[in-house]
Order: sequence, then C-alpha cells, then structure tokens
Amino acid sequence: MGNPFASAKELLVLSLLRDEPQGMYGLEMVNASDGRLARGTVYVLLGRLEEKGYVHSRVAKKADHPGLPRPRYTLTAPGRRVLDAAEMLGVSTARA
Amino acid sequence: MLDDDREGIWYDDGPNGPFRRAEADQLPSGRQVPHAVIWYTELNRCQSAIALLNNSRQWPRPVTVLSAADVKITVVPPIAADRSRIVRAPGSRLMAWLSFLLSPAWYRLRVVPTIADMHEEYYQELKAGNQPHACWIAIRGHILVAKVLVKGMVEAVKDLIF
Repeated sequence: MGNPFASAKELLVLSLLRDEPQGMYGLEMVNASDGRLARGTVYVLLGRLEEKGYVHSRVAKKADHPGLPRPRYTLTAPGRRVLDAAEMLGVSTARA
Repeated sequence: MLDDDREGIWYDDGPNGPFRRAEADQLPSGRQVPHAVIWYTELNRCQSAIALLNNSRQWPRPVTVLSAADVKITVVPPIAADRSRIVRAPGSRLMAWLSFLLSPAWYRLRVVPTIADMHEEYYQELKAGNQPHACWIAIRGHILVAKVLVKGMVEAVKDLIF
C-alpha cells in the first residue's frame, strides 16, 4: 500500500523522535538510524517535516564552543498522529 | 637637533602614549607598536642596533636608513609582536553568501543546522588537539552544505511535479 502521509524516511525520523521525548540532534538521528539516514539527507527531511508541522526545532542561545548552537528537534502532536496513523495502516518505517 | 641623551631605540607606547626609549637588547616583548625609530650619532652603533633587531623575531627588518653627518636615523616598520590572529568559524563566508541567496526559511531549516553540526564536530576535534581531522571536518561540512542544497532542490522540484 502507498504511503499518503509522509515518505518512509520521514516516518523513520518521526519514529526516532518518538523514542526520545526530550528531542534529538540531527547527528544523533543519523547515528541512531544505523545507516538508513545520511548526513546530507537528514536536514532536508527535518526541514520538510518542520514545514509540515510534524517536528519542532529549538536552538539553544549559546553553544559551549565558538560556533553556532545546534537545533534540537522534538515531535509535535500532529507528527505523533501521522506516525500512529501510518503504523495503524501497516506502513513500515524500516524501508530506506 | 638631537642630543646624545636621546640615543637608543624609541618605540610608540600605544596610539596616544608617549615614545619610550630602550636599548636594543631591552626591547619589551609581547606588544604591538606603530613604529620605532633608531637614533644614534655613530654609524657603527646604528648598524649594530639594526643587526640586533634584524636577528630578533619580534621586530622587522628596518626599511630605511637615512644618514646625515651626525645623526643616523632608521625607521622600522610596524609589526605585531603578539602573533595571535583572529580566525572566523569555518563556513562563515558560506553562510553569509547563502543567507543572501536563499530564502530565510530554506536558510534556517537546511543550512544553519548543517553548519552547526560542522562547528560542533570541528571544535570537538580542536579541543582534542586533532587539527588535521578538524580541517577535514570543515571541508566535509562545506561539501555537505552543497549536498543538502542540491537534495533540497530536488525534493522541491518533485513536490512541484507530483
């Protein structure tokens, strides 16, 4: 069955975020995905998910180094509903 | 007209400060001065001072020697004795260009997180003292930004078509 809600990789990102209520950084998601997410892909996906309203990003005011602080992503309620709906329909989040 | 009491090396003590005098082997280290002037009435003493400054790592080679009958003058160009320099975080210029070229949403959602990750890893490596790997992370970060932009554009075109 086709996926009307989000792509498989987007569902993968949503499922990773569901397991971490305090949020995750993009690199943490890449490491947790066991190679299914690439560094170049994750922020494209997160950008699209944020535009759709399925994730929310929060940036600390200051990092503990001179560079930019990293955004931390959390799952929103619509994102949780999308994930639940996809799982109810039997859409696998394991597909790459 | 100079008198002999003014022989020596005179250096600026700051932009609004007075000139201070020291012998060639007593020059203060770790300071930045606009310029220094060597005053000696004997040529051989002037040349000795120049040679001493040339051998010193803190002062540059003098550029000009003017000689008169009694007074030998050399003007030494400025140098920063403190060799630290200001360095920008990697990707700063790229961010400046992309913030101009891209929409604010694209820039905030795709470029800034990628560069923030690069900074995180870059400074971790610098902290660990691993500068070559830090340089590689900076290079890889720039390539990643290009990949993110290309992938983002491909996705945007797919959304338009399908």
